[in-house]
Amino acid sequence: MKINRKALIHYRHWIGIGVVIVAVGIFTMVFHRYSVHPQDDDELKVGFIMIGEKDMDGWNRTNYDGIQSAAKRTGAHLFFEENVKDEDGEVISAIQRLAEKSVSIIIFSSYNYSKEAIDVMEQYPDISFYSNSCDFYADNLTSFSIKMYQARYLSGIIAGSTTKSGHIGYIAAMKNQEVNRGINAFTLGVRAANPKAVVDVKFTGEWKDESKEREEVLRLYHQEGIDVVTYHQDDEAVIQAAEELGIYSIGFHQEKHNYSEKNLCSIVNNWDIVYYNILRDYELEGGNYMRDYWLGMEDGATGLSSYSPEVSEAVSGTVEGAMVTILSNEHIFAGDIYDNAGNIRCRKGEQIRKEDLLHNMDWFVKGVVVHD
Amino acid sequence: MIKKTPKRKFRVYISFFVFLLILAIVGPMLQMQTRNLLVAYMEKGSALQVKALAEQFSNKVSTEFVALNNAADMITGQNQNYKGKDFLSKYITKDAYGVDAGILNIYGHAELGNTYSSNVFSGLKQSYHGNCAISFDRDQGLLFTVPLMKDNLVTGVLYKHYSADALRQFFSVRCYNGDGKIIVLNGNNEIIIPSHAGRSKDVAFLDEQVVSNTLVKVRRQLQNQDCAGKYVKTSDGPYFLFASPAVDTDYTVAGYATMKSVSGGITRIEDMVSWVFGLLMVLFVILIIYLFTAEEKAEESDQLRIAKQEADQANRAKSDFLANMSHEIRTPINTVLGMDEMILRETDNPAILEYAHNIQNSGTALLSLINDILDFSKIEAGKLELVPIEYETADMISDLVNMVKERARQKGLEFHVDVDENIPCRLYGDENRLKQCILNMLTNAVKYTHEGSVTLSITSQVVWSQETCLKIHVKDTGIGIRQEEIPKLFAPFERIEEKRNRNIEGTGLGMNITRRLLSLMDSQLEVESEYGKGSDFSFTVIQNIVNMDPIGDFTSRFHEKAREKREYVERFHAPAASVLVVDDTQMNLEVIKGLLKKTKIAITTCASGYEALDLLKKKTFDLILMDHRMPGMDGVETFQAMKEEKNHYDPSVPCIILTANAIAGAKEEYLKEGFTDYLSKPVVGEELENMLLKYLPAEKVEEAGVVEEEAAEEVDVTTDEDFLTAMEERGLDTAEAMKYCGVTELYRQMVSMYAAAIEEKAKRIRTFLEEKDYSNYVVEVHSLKSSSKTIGLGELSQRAKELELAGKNGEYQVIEEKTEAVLKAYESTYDLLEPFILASEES
Repeated sequence: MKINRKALIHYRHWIGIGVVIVAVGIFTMVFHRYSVHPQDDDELKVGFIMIGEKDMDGWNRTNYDGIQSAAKRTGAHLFFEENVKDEDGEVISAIQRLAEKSVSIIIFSSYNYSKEAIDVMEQYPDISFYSNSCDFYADNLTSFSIKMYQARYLSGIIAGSTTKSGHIGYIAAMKNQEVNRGINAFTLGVRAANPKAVVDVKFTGEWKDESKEREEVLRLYHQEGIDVVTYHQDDEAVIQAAEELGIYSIGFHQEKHNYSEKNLCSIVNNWDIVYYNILRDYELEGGNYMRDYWLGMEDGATGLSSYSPEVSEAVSGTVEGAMVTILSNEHIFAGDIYDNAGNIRCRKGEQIRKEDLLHNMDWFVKGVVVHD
Repeated sequence: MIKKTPKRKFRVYISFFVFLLILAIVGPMLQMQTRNLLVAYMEKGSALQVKALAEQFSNKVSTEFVALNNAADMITGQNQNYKGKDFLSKYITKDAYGVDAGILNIYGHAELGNTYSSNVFSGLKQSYHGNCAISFDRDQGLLFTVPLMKDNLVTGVLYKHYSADALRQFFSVRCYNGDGKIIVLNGNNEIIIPSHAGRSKDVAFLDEQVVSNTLVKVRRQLQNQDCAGKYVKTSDGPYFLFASPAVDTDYTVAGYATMKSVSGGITRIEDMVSWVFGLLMVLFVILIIYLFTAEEKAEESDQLRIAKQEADQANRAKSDFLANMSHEIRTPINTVLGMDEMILRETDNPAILEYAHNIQNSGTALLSLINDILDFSKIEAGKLELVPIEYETADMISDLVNMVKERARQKGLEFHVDVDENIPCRLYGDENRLKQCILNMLTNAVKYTHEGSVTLSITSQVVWSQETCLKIHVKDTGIGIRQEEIPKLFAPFERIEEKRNRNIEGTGLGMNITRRLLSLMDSQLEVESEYGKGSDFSFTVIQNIVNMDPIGDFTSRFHEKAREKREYVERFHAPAASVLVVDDTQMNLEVIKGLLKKTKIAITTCASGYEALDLLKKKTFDLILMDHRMPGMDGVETFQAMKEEKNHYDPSVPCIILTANAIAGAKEEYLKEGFTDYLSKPVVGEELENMLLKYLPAEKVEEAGVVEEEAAEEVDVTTDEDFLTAMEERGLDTAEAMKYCGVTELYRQMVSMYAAAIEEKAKRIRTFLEEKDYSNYVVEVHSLKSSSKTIGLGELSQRAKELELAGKNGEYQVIEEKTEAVLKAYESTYDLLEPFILASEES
């Protein structure tokens, strides 16, 4: 290609300017490449995986409301994955979808997710996983839960004080640390108020199976003569059954409150407090802490709802007293405790360790009768 | 003044402005980036510092727990010895001030030591549940708690408590030589352990909005890193905030330090960069200004150069034109002079002779003028070169003398020649140009001297073995030159005292040419002059020596030679020779024919190369004269064609090329071509004759002198009748003469006397005329009239009478005009009458 020398000379001004601009452009690019990028203060992106849908009663909705409230308080941005079964690896694809949205936190609102997800979590080292009471450990996995057992204990006092037949029914989904703890704390409370009372436990096998739950209530009623019933399920079928039978019931994070006075009270779980704590801590310190979030009454994470008029003043007074103790030293699983096989589990002046409460609650206290 | 269009100016300003703008952008960018890099570097540095400190802190904490756990083990081991205050102080507190330890039961009551409430120290609750914990209260200090376990059941809590004061002592960390303030924060950003600056200061620092925002950012960074640092501009100045989590605790070790203490002077780099860049910018600006002005200058010089080129071209064209015209100009003049020479040779008519002499004078003068002008333009065109040849020193000087002598004599000036005896007799140099210079000086001297003398003096000094330095002086007693006018001498076309000297002929070029020629010869003209008294022009020139023999006494040799020359009229006859002359200019052919007429050579002429070739086929010649520049086939081409066999050219026949080309090396070129020799145009008769003499076959050349002498036949005049007859034959009017003389014997005597006196008398008349001594002149002329009449030269007498009358009447113009012719006629009678000079006269 013949370059027209004359034209080159004629346009030398423009060529010169062009060269300089190109040089400056390159210079700028190079500089930027090697310059320091300030940390981006992105807003916090949180992924939330649920078993049900957000407007389902009970567990799902309270969790949903909880995370929403917490997100609002902390300014986090939420991404929901609903109807994710805790089997068949659905949680893994949920995680992948959330990861694509560049979330910093993924919260498993159900216990079983962590079982399937534990292998995948390694692949996302920059994401902090929080699981609702899990038993697994990973570098970026933190467990959270509410010390529901505290409220259970208090509700046990009420149940123990109320029962006439001395049999209290407990419809539970399945055996796990959480459920067991609840049953034990409840029973300890019952026994504290009524040393001879017995807690009849029946496992339905499902978190939500309204017909089965109802069936079990009826069975226990007929078989054991329970006159108070409580449950650990995702829905309120047990209360409805109790209402039908005309027996007392104690709810478990129940939504509806238009039952009869026989619905003595409910255990309240304030997930928003838990989630708020999680998010706030993440904001302040970041995730990946080997920290378990086990928030209890002292944190305002759990408690009892207001009592029905059927709860006498004396009872409520006792409950208040117990609450104070819990708040200060919390001696629920302390003192002499025997399991229902007759083994001594705790002695006077001693207390069961938190660790054991969390991970070794595979036994039931004396007073618990498990019906198959 | 270079025309700067407004558009161009505008463009210049725009580009300048753009450059400046770019610099102004790049500069701050550079500074910013430098700063960013430095800050990033410092952030990293401070982060690493605090990481180390956090590790320190963690270790301290771990150590505490290890000790406490050991103590707990010891306590819960069944040995009762390990309970009690002594144990605690020995193993735990070590009696340190502000530190205490104790044991609480699960109900929160102190079994040993102080009671601490779990409401204050939330860590206690954890310990009640079986975990080690640290908890902190602003007022009460730090509490380390470990559970006392028995069979995995919590039986109590062992604690170690640090009061707020003790904390600082035991746990505070320092960095940056104490400039940095290290604090330990818990998850709620409460200060567990304040820095050595004091809690209030720390709190005040962290409370500032910009700092607390930065702290949030730092904590965010801790999500992905194990230490982080950030630059923060506080109201107190620039600081760095850095933090690192204390591993195994919920605490974060953070710190803040002024940028100054962190940077340790590294920020000077930034200043340096700014300075350097500023300097670069200034330099750049200067460079740009320089480039712009240089560009302008370049443009200017471009334009000037173009103008100069054009001027040069024009000048060159003019000079080339003139140089090339030399041939064209000289040819007609040559013709005029040649024809004139022929007239001079062939006529006896005094009047015509006079006219012819005038033509010769004017023509020669014109030729000299043309030569000057052509020389001058040759010099201008850079085409003047010296053509060195070998020459006889004496001959050169003789020529000069001959050329000047007559003119000096005509003006009544004395001409002295002073030549050093030791000058080498044969030299090598450009004789022509050297002669030209000296001649110029001499003619000027004569021109500007109205009375007195002109002296030529030449000396030599051998410089190197083969070179001699000639010093030539021309002194005169002329009008002189004023000092301030001397520079004018050398200016072309300028003449000094134009008005006064306007009667003196000349173009004013001569001196300039002389100067140039001298400078070509590595010499220069020196002038000394006294106004009104005279001048001395001199120069020295180096010539190579060919023959070292000294020339000896020049003056006497010169006169001898002159006499010889006068007697030896070099003429020859060669009637048997045939010469071919080829020249496209008819005039030139005529000139040559005229010049050679007396030699009686058979001359054939033709006007072109083609004709020459044709003629050669028919005839052979003894010599060929070939003009170089001819249309169609030029001389060289013709000669080459001749050499080809079928053109019947005998290579032994000399072929001489005639050329106006006098450039050095030309002769060699022609000889290479095969020419025998070359002649310069315009052709000079003498040179032409020399050339022919040299190259014509010797047997065909006859000396003219021989014939001439034969012409001087013996005349027998013993009887009176014979004498009278002889006189008659010579055109004398004997009848008339006899009237005056009476007897033949007297007539004889009168003729003898008359003839003997011619030389003297003529000289006297001339002298008197030159001296304008008109009274004596008339006397002489009167006597000439009489004596001429007496011997029967009536016509001569008549002419002398005219002169006499003119003289008496004061008609000096007539005398000036006519005397010479008369004298010539008078002198010509000598030839006629010389044989009749009686022996008695010859004494």
